[in-house]
Amino acid sequence: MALSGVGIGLRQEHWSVLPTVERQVDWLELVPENFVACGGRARSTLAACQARWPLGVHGVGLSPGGPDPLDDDLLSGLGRLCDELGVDTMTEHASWSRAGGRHFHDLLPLPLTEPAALHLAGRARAIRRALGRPLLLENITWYAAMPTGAERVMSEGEWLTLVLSEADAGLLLDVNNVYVNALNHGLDPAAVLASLPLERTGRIHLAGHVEREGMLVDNHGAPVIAPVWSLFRQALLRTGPVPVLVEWDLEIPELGRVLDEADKARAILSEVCAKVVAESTGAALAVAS
Amino acid sequence: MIEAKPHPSVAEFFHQVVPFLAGQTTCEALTEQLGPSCSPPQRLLFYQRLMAANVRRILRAVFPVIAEIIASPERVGLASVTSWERLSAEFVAAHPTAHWRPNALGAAFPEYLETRADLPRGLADLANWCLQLLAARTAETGVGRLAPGVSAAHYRFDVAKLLARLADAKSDKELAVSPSAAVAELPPPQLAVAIVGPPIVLVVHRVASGEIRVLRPDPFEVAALALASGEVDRDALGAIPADRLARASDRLSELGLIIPGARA
Repeated sequence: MALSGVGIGLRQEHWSVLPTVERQVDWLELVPENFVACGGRARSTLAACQARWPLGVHGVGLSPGGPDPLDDDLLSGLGRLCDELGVDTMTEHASWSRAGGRHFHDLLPLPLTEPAALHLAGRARAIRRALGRPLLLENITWYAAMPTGAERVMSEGEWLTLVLSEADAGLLLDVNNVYVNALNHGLDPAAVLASLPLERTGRIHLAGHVEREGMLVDNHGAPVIAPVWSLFRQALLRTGPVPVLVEWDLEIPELGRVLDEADKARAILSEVCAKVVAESTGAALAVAS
Repeated sequence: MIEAKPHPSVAEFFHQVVPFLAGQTTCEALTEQLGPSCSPPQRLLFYQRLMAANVRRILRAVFPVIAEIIASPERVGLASVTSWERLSAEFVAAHPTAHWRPNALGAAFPEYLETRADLPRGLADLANWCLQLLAARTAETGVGRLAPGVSAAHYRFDVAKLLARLADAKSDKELAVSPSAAVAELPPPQLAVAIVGPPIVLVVHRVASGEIRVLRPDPFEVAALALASGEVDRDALGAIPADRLARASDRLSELGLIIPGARA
């Protein structure tokens, strides 16, 4: 089912209240690895939510950029779950998390080189084929540039453009990650945003971050800050209306607080997209006259 | 699924970075092999700390009681033996997992604790119990089932005694899983019911079938259970509407937690 508007993450802390909430929620996003081959309360909550809202999935376990073979069991479990939930698009990260028979349970960066981009793109194509669905890859946070040996270092924008075009995949634009990366590496967030292949954006994520060890850490455990809201506006001017998600995964507050953030995102989405439509209509009328 | 081998530079990257992230090699060794990073060494080292923190967080979520006992062993009358940070790191070094499900990381934890002569023997059984609770919460059928051949007798560790001991601790509310009430054996079908609070969780283990259920009762169900077990009189529950109490009682009866007409 197609997603639109502003969704929130389906998190265990809200299982008891979310299915009957009266405030506006346009769609829900879930981490599918938490529901593959699972029953109990997790699945009954999911069924209750599925009856009310369109669902999206955001994978964290496939290790799209890793060196180990893709996990066929996980792929088939994800395929079955997407079928059951009526999910038409898979999303994952432009990262790796498993190598040498070890899972690191985090989203780790690859070197920003052409061979690494082509490696990730090839595996992303394989994931897309295996799941029989379009794939969106998220721009991740990277706290350190990985050593690249003798290879030429690309900018993040150049690297992601190559990955997504070679993979024929879309971009899941995490606006907070753009901001965090830019500040951690002494770059201008607006310039970093502009360098990304925004024309491929199929979904937007918003989240909060914290400051730790002298840098910004994307922990999804705080409200979205003003500069990220501003960057979100700039992104929408380029992407037009796409589904937006407010993520809050650590130190999760009561549902109402998360929905306040979603309301804020929805207001900006409506305002900016109305402006985009008005401008394009005006331009079309000017051409016609 | 057949996949092409990574480009040599990508393969070399993984070959060097995996032991680094696992804390087995230094930052200097990494950059010596792969060339310098544009980022300062402390940024690369941040990833080492992040990986270790991930392991601690995942294990703590599955084994909260073990984490609390290791952190504050005096609360249950044990001597300090190691730290949670060290125990987690040593465990994952011995039992790395490639499974995509984070909780799979803890699958070998009970077995590992068993091998640690410096740790109290009962910890392994308690860890096993934590795994069974997790299985009960997430089992595909909705009801957990002990592995074939495993019975309650498998748990040499006396969970009831542990809960009672923790309940005596003055600061039990600070424990991640804070058992503060009773453990009771109810008449047939044999049910071990632990009322743990807050939050209140009912752990129902049917000895005959091996089934385990974990339930979070609402306040009306707690009241109905207390009434059925004879812990309180109806008068003490005067503010609770009779119909709500009856509905709660019916649900508990359906689940086999209350036997109509019987009192413990």
